[in-house]
This record gives sequence, structure tokens and C-alpha cells, in this order.
Amino acid sequence: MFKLILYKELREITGTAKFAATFGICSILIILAFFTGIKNYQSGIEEYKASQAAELRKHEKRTKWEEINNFQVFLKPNPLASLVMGVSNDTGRSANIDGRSKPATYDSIYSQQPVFAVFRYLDLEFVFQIILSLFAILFAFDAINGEKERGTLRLSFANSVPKASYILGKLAGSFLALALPLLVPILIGVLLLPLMGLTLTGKEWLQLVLFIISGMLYLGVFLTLSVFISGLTKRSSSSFLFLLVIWVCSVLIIPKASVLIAGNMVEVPPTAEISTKVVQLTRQNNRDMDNKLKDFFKNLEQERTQGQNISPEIMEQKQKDLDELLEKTTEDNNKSVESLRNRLFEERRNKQVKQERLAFGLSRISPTAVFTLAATTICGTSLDLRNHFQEKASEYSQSFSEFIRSKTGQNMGGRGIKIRITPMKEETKPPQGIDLAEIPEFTYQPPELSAILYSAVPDLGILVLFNLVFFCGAFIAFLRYDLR
Amino acid sequence: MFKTLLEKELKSILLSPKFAAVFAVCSILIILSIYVGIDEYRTAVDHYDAVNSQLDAQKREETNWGALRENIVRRPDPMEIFVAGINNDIGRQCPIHENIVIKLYGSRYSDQLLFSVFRSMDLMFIVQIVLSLFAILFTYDAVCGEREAGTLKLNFSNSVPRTSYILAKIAGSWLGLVIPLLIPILLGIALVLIYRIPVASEGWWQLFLLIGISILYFSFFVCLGVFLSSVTRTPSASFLYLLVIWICFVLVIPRAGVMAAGQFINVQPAAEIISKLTEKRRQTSEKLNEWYTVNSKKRDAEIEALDPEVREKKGTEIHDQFYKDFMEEDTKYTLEVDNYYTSLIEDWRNRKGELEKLGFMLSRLSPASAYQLAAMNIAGTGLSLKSDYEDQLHDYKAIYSRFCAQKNEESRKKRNTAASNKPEPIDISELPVFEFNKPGLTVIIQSSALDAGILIFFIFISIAGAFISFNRYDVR
Repeated sequence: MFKLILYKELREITGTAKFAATFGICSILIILAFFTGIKNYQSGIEEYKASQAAELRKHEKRTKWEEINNFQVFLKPNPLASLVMGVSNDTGRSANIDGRSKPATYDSIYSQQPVFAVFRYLDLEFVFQIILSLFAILFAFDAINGEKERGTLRLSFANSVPKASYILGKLAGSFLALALPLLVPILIGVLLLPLMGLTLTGKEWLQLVLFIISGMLYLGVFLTLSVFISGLTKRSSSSFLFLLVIWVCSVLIIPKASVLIAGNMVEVPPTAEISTKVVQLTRQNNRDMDNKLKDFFKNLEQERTQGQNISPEIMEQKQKDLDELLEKTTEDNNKSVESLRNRLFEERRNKQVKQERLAFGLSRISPTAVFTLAATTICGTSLDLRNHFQEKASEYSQSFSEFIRSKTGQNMGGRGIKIRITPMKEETKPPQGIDLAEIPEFTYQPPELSAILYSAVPDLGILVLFNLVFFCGAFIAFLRYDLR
Repeated sequence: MFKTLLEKELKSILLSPKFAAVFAVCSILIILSIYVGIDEYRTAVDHYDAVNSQLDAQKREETNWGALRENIVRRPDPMEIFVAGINNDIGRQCPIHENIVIKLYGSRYSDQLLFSVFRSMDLMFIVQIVLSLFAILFTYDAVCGEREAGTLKLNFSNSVPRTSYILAKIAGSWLGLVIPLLIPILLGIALVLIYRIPVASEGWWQLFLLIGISILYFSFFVCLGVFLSSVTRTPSASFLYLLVIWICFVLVIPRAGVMAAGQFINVQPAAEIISKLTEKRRQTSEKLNEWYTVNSKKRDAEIEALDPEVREKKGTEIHDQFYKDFMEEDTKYTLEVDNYYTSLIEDWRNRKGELEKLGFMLSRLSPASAYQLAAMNIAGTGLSLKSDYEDQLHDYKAIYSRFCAQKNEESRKKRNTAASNKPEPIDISELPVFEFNKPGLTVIIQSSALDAGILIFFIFISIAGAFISFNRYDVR
């Protein structure tokens, strides 16, 4: 019986104008999302290479490693980020390595090219999140009450049709009818990947499959919800109105409102505020250093005026003392600045984590938010992208510092100020060029699949839970439904 | 007759559950968005004041004009409450220094990435997405629904002019949607007044224009809904077509237009420009150093060769002349770098301009894009915000550099003549103040006239379509 109802439902749906429209739009949008995603990725890679080359060009005329006091690294585009963009266009794509402070990221795509921020991109996540969820409602808003309005429900149950099989057939039929317009263009899009010269790794293929599964689960939520609401209402127009209000709330309101609520409840200081505090301490340190230097020169002057005979050996010793004073003070100052910076940023980060947890916790009332979080986590374009990039840049900063130290024997950025009170020794060796190819390469490694799965499983679980709850709701509502 | 029909239409809309749902959702959304906008604006102003006062405190401690580091913070604008535009995507600060390229950095979204996950919800977003959807919901069955219910046949059994009927349908639905929009907007404006947001008289005009363009935008969807409902025979078919059109207009064409333009026009990355500029700076700095080394040796030799009796007096003159020459040389190289920068940025800007032009031209096939672009222009949060800011900052940089050079020269002279060498704090009130000049109302009207025209054109086409199709409609 279930099979029969499923066939009937499928035949009914696939023969409608609704199906043709859905299939047409889905095909165009999904293929377009794949095509533009691939193109964007390719231009992103070109831009990445150009930026890297430009950075190297900046240093190619240098003759000493000491002259390199900062180096820029870039976030390599990720092929999946072109299909599910998440925050990848909002997060900074470069980081400045100065060997001292924790690198901050800057120059996001949207800040560089705000023209793309005006309407944003059309990616697979957007197609699923907005368009397909709307189609899911359109497919199933009248699943039960529509049949009642047309009188076909009473007719169907004039025969011995089990209610359970009927509702299961309805749900499965609607789901299959929606999955078909989706899977065909997705397969075409997937074929476009190798055809347009984009090769994914095994891990990336798995991520893509996981993303599609999460998309299907998300559609399942709206489909079961629609059947549920259709089983609760008598008229299809009422169920459609309810569903549209729920859709607006779920897709447009709850996710945004939860972030705004969290933003109001947990305040995170802007980085500019931290920077100014750090600058204040730096200036204080500079003033302290000035005083120390003044004392040093005052003593030296006193010794001179007292008529002490200052031999070249003593002057050499004085030069050493001065070098030591400068080096030690610079080191102490750098340490104090770094410790303040790290403390302030850590405090900020803790507040940020609290804010994010609260925002995402609240937003998970909405299946759309859950899907967005799951999809972006799976494709590596969630908020973790920035944290991960910063971590990797930080690790690289250490290795880059080590490299410069091994080349120069001193910390990156030099020892700070140098003051000569003895005649400068002539450089015996002419300046040698430096081989930039020796610089350790920075390549951003995205998180492992296990880590991705670990982060995405809770959201996938919530999507399954939504499906189960609405499915049970639909089932119970239909069992109690007045068929007349 | 028109009045009777309009009354009937209004009554049937106002008493429907649809109206209650739309009114409730719109009220909550609009008031919430304005309230949140006000809150965000106030937070932004607090941060702006805090950062500026910290920067001022730092500047006050400075004793040397040459060591002064100016940092301009972008002032929040009250219109961001209604239309965020690209305000959160572009930087909020810009350091002013001879060797630093003018570039706004530290956007709100890059600083507080969480807010970029689901983006902001402002009045423009609500009108563009939610109200347009509701406009369809109000009108998709305006004609075909009456036909299906049999009331159309009944109506036309009396002598009802078709023109009056369709006009009343459009006007009734339009009024039914204007109420849910205007009441919460007025309440939102009351909130702006209660929270004493400093909206200038020009700002009120901008808001008035924004409401006007929003009404134009959803008028189009009302007319389109009536048009499609008089083309189709069943409400379900009409709704399906309208939904497809809505998806294309609101969600697909705007994005696809700009993305297509991005495929046609390639803009070189900013990193490349900065690298070229850095290289140029390095070259000029090397030349200046070389000049200094050669000429300082000459100067020292010249002073050394002087008679000891006149050395002090003459030596100062030689020093002054040397400094003057050095400053001239420095200005020459700065100008060279500036010209190079202008040529680089001009080329880059031209490419970007082409991309924007093509992208927006393609996206204007959709009234939703036309509305968004007009709304952003009116609120002053469109794409020009970034370029206008950076241009004005660039001009300010030149004034600031000249001022600092002049002050340095004065300080140097003072140091040479003063008995004590004790440094004194600088008077920062003398610093040239950066004030961003927002485009005037005339410029705003001019820049949004095209989009308003497009919306009027779309409305006209829809009304004409509705009239023609309804006159041919089989009312049976």
C-alpha cells in the first residue's frame, strides 16, 4: 500500500507546473552556483599567487635579512569555500608577521571589493537555505488539507488505506519529488568541477557529500513541518500563511535577532580600543627608555667633565654597556607590551567566545541557522576559519622568527635602537643579496576531517531531531485528522 | 463606483487573517530593526568617542610634530540605522602618515565576525525581502481568486467598469500594505526622537526619500501581483509564477549581475598596488638618502673650510640653506610618489568603476536591485561611501603633511634659538581637523533618480499589463 501511495504522490507531483518550475529554477541556480564558484576559486587562486609574488617583490631588493622586519602571509582559497562561502569573504585574508605580536588578519574580500558585499554571492548554501526551503513549503503546504479541500482525501479513505502508510507515502513522495530537482543539477555541477579543471581531494569530496546530506536534512525539516502544519489546519491557504510566517521567522528573523541579542548581552571591545591601550603603554615605555638614556649620557658627561681620562678601551666598554642597556630595555618593553596585548586580546577572545556561544545557542531554535552552522563548519567557512588561520599564522610567525634569528643571530625586527658613541667600524664585507627562496613557505592547512565532523555532528543531530519531531507531529496530526 | 470597489477591497483585506499576520510581522520587524539600529549606532558613537579621546590623549603627550601619528576614525552616521549598506563591510579607521597608503581598515564585520554570519536586519532588508513577499501574498489571488470563488462573475453581472474594478484592486491592496508599513515606521521614527539621535534636517529629508522609494518598490510588487493574477486562471498558478519571479528579482538577478560582471572584468589585487607603491617609496627614499649623504658631506666640508671667526654665524646659514634644500628635495620625491600613487590608483579605480557599472547595470534588470541601490545612495551607505572617504582622506593627508612639515620647520628654528632644549608638548588644537563632507541632497537625488526611474518604469509596465490583461479576462 505504501508503495502505491508513494507512486501516486510522485506521479501527482512530477506532473505539476510546480515541479517543472522547481526543477527549472533549481537547475539554473545550482549549476550557476557551481560555475561561478569554480570561476571565483580560480580567480581567487590567481589573486593569491599575485599577492604572494607582490610580497616577495617587496623584499627582493633587500641585501640583509635584518631588513625584513615584517612579512605578509595570505590565506589560500579553499575550493569548497567557493561553493559554501560562509564568512570566508568577511574574514581577513592576510596576516602580518612581525615576529613579536600575534598576527591579526585583515583585508577581507568584501572590504577590498565592497561591490560584492552589496548583493553578496549566490552560493549553494544560499540556494538551499532560502530557495529550496521555500520550495519545500510550496510542495507540501497542502499535502493533507489540500486533498481534503479537493475531496480526494475522503475518496482515498473510502478504501481500506492505513493512515500510517498514507502519511508515510505522502512524506516520502514529497521528499523524493524535491530531492530529484536537486540531485540532478548537483550531479551536473559536480561534473563541472573536474571539467573546469578543479580537482578536489578525497577529504573535500567527503565534505561535499556531507554538505549535501545536511542540505537534504534541512529540506526534510521544512517538508515534514509543512505536512505537519497541513495536518493541523483545515484550509490550505491558512497552512500556507502559517508556513510563510514560520519561514520568515526561521530564515530571516531568528538567526539575525539571536546575534543581535547576544551582541547586546555580551559586549566585546573593538580591537581599536585595545590597540590604543597598547600604543599608550608603548609610549610610556619609550619615555622610560628616554630617561634611562638621559641618565646614561649624563653620567658619561659627568665623567668627561670631571676630567677623567676616557681611553678607547673604556669607551668600548661604555659602548657595550649602552648596547646592553638598549637591548635589555627594548626586550623588557617588548615583553611588557606583548603581555598587555596578549592579556587584552585573550580577554576579548573569551568574551567573543561567550558571545558566539550565546548567539548560536539562541539561533539554533531556527533550522535555518542550524543548517548554516552545519554547512559552514563542514565546508570550513565557519567562524573557526579566522581562528584557525590566526593560529596557523601565529605558528608560522614563530618559525619565521626562528628562521630570521638563524640568519641574523638576532630577533626579528632587530635589536631596536642602536646608538654609537665609538667610531663605527667600516663594513668589511660588501652587502650580499638574500635568497628569498629560503624563506619558509606558509601554506594554510584546514582542519582535519575528524575535527570538522566533531564540530558539525551536534548541528547535524539537531537537524535530525527537527525532522523526527515534525515527522511525529505530522504523523500524530494526521492520525487525528478529520477526513470529512 | 471606484470608491465602493475600493471600500469593498479594503474591507476584505483588513478583515482577513493575512492582514493581521502581515501587520504583526511587519510591526515587530520594523520596530525591532530600528531599535537595534539605534542601539548599534549609539554603541558605535561611544566607541568612536572612546577611541578618539584615547588618540587625543596620546597626541597631547607628544612633543614633536614629526613623531605625531594621526589616525582618523570614521564617524557613524544616523542613517545607518535604516540602511546599513556597506557600512559594516568597509574599514572604520585610517592612519594618516606620509608612508602609509590611504586605506580604511578594521571593518565591523572583520572585527566582529559573528555579526557577518547572518548579517544585519535593517529597514531596507525588511522592505526588500519581507514586504515584497507580503505584497505578493496580498495580491496573487486578486482577480483569479475572485474568479475561482465565483464572485467575479457575480460582480460583473452588474454594470461595473473593468477599469475601475482593476484600479480599485490595485489601490485597495496598496493601501492594505501601506498601513502595515507606515505605522511601525512612524513608531520607529518616534524611537529615534525618544533616544535623541542627532538627525540633521538633511537626514530627515533622506529618511523621507527612503520611505518614498520603499513605497515605490512594494507598489511594483502589488501591481505585479494584480497583473499576474489577471493573466492566470487559478491562484495556485499565479502564486507559483509570482514566487518564481520574486526569487529571480529579489534573490537571483542582483547577485548574478554583479557576479557576471566579476567574471568579465578583472581587478588586480590591492596587494599588488601596495607592493608597487612600496617599491617606488623605497627607490625615492634611497635617492633622498643618497642626496643627503653627498650633500651633508659637502656641507660639513664647507663649514670646516670657513674661517673660525665667522664659522658660527655663517655655519648656521649654511645649515639653514641645507635644510631648505633638503626639504625641497623631500617635497619633490613626495610629489613623485604621490603622482605615481595617483596614476596607480586611478587605473585601479577605473577598473573597479567599470566592474561596478557593469555589475549594477546587469543587476538593475531587477527592481529589487534598483531599490537597494537607491536606498543605499539615499542613506549615504552605498559604494561611494568608501571612495568618497578615501578621496577626502587623501586630500586631508596632503594638508596634514604640509602642516606637519611647517610645524617641524618652526620647531627646528625655535630649538636653534631657544635657551633651553626642554621639549614642550605640542598644541593639538592647531592640527587641521578632518571633517567628512557627505554628499548633499541634490547629489543624493541625482544619484538615485535613475533607480527611482527604473522602479516607476516597472510599476508602469505592471499597471499597463494588469489593465490590458484584465480587459481581456474571461470573468466566467
